[in-house]
Amino acid sequence: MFKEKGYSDDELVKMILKDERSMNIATSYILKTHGKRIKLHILEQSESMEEAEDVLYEGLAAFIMNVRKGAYRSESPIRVYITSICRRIWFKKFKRMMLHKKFEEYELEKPKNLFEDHILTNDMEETVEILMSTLKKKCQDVLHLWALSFSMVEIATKLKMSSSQVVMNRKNLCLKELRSQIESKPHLAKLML
Amino acid sequence: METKYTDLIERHFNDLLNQDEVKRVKELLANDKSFQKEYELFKSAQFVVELNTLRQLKENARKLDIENTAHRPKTNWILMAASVLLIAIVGTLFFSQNNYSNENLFNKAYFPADDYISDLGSDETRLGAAMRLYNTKQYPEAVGAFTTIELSEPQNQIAKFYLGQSLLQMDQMEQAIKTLDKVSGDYWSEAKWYVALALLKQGKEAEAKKILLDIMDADEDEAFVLKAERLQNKMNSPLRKFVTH
Repeated sequence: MFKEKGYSDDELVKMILKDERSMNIATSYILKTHGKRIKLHILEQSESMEEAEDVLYEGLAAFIMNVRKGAYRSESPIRVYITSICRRIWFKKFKRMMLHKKFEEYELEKPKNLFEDHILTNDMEETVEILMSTLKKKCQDVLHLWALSFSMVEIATKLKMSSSQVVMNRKNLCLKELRSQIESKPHLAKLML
Repeated sequence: METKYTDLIERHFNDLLNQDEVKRVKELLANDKSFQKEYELFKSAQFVVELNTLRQLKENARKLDIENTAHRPKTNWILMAASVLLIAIVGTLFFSQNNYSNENLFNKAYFPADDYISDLGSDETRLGAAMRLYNTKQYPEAVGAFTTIELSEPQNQIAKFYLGQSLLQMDQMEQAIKTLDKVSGDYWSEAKWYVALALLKQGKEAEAKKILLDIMDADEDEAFVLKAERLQNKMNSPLRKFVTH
């Protein structure tokens, strides 16, 4: 029987920062090793497996964004960090209207620079999908990699574009197109507020 | 929307402004409504892109989780039957030796807490005297000595911790649990570990598991996080469930 390679927290962070393939291996590994326990944590609050899974995937996505943007500085082990993100997301997403003062006070004391502050409601997901779908595939790819904080040089290499300046110009043009879409669909933009 | 500000805002979002331009952006943001409006539009576009990436990462995580589940070995009934038979034989052996009983798990995991403080120059204090009683296994006397200290210094976590330890040694589980449960600070993880063991010995498995989870979640002392993980694995072992239920 083969034993799967184990990764330390530091190795996982390096993998997330390296490229998308390594990022996927790290994501899969985190899901395998910590996913079940994080879901159990959420289930203690919510009793809904659907909510627990939704929160786990969103929390993991927010963690990856934080790592890529340099907001995760290994201040706590990955499992503890993601669990904390997930609890916060669950609370904001599924218990927004609930009076849960103690928990709320505790959670709101935390630093505000983390990406999970933007939770994905169904409305938001749909709006974002509609707006992004108006852009060409190449634009979507450039903006996706840019949002993951890949450098212009890295994006040029990945998307086989001739130079970092070409990527920068393309990104600016794509954002301009997106701005005009947002301007022309104010009813959609409102859904994201 | 293309205005006289578009270039400036675009360079601002690309982090390409010099100090004078940064100052100008601040001023315009504070005073110019049309600038503010265009600036907000830039922010919205960036927000949409980031949310879209978050959405894609989330979907990717969902997909990877489903793949992980799908790649788990499929059920092979013959192998399963053979495994069940093997487990039954091994399980019976284990059962006969009482290997997975709460008592046995407790005995394997329990080691009396070491004396962490006598080298810290506490020999001449009340605490030092109490520790000497503990170290020489005069537990009833140690309980008395630690209780006296604890009553006069309710915040003395060391006295509380070793009072709990002495009670454990005297097999006074209920009292030990109550005492150790109140320990905070540096000794928290270790105290909780002994609370879990005492609960296990009392047959309160669910409560013991909850304490082990608390130790792991708090993640304050790696040694006890590892111990808690190992004990939890043993308690959750399918073989154990098989032979003890």
